[in-house]
Amino acid sequence: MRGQAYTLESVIAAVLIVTSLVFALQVTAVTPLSASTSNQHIENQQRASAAGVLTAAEEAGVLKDAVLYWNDTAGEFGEAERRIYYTNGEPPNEFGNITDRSFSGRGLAVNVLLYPGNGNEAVPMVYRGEPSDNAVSASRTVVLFDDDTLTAPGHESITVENAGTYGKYIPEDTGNSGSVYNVVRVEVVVWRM
Amino acid sequence: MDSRTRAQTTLDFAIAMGIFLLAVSFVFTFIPSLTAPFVDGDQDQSVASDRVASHLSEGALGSPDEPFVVNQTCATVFFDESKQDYTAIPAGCGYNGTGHNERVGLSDRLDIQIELLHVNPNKTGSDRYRVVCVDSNGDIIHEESGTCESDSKYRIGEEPPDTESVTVARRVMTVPDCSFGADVQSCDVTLRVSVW
Repeated sequence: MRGQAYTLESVIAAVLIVTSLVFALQVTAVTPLSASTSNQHIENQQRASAAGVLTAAEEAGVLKDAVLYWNDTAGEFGEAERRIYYTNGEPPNEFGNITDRSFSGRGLAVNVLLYPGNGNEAVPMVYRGEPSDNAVSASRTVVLFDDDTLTAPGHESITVENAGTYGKYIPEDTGNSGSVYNVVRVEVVVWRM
Repeated sequence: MDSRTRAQTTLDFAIAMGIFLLAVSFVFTFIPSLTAPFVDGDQDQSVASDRVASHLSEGALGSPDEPFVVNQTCATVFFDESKQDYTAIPAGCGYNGTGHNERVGLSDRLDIQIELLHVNPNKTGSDRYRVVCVDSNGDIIHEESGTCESDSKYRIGEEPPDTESVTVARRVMTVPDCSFGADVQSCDVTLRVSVW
């Protein structure tokens, strides 16, 4: 009889431990400061870095060049392969170099999306897949004028207004009659892989 | 009669303790985060490094209305070992105090190193980072793109030790009018703050 009681007690004790653990995990333990891949500080840092990248690109005047880096004949961003956007690397221009210097080699994935004004659909420039739940983003707006020329090699003489395929993805905002072509919001999304 | 019963209980007790210890070890092996918040003693460091990096990048080294843009005058004084007295600070810079710890609002109990670095994405290890400095014409360069003036490197604080846990925070900033070489059109630099 006593033997039976000991086995039963141990099973009850084990169940008790697991239950109290589940209870404890639900109530407390993991704070926002706990070290993990989805740490609030890491997210803050990535968001600030993304904002810094956009500031650096804008200050150097290369952010707008990257938005206009379009191969009008092929109907894709300059030197993009298979898709209209870059999937396997950063854009082959200075904005791509800034992104590369800031995020490469640290296990971070970056998406760059363009949101043309007047409610048009987002156009990916760099797409590395669906961001994780802990992704952060920063954005900056770029104003395109009717007489701005494309910047991809071989297409520098074409203005955005006269481009054949550019308008398919980033159309002219017909809401304004002035020399503004459209206002594009450039969004950088960063997350840990 | 008594002795036979006891033999049974000892064997049973062993099984019982086995199950019990298995349950305990399972809990601590598979759920390490249970103890993580109490074992991890670097929380103050990670908060401090993050705050210092934000403070420097979003105001102190430049102007709060232009975050992530370095003001060369403010940065040169901030990183100069010989200009650590509060009287040397130029007007309009977002920091004050004597010594770099006081300028970033950190107690002397924590050690800190602050650097501005230009990244070479094709290299790994310490070759990847080149410290930004000023050349004889007063232009912003990095240590491999030209000859730095003596003591002009944008780095302050002791070298972080190998034996302690060091917390690092980074920001991407830009130094207007840099000359990082013919193949670099932009002026992006990485601010690295190490606290230990």
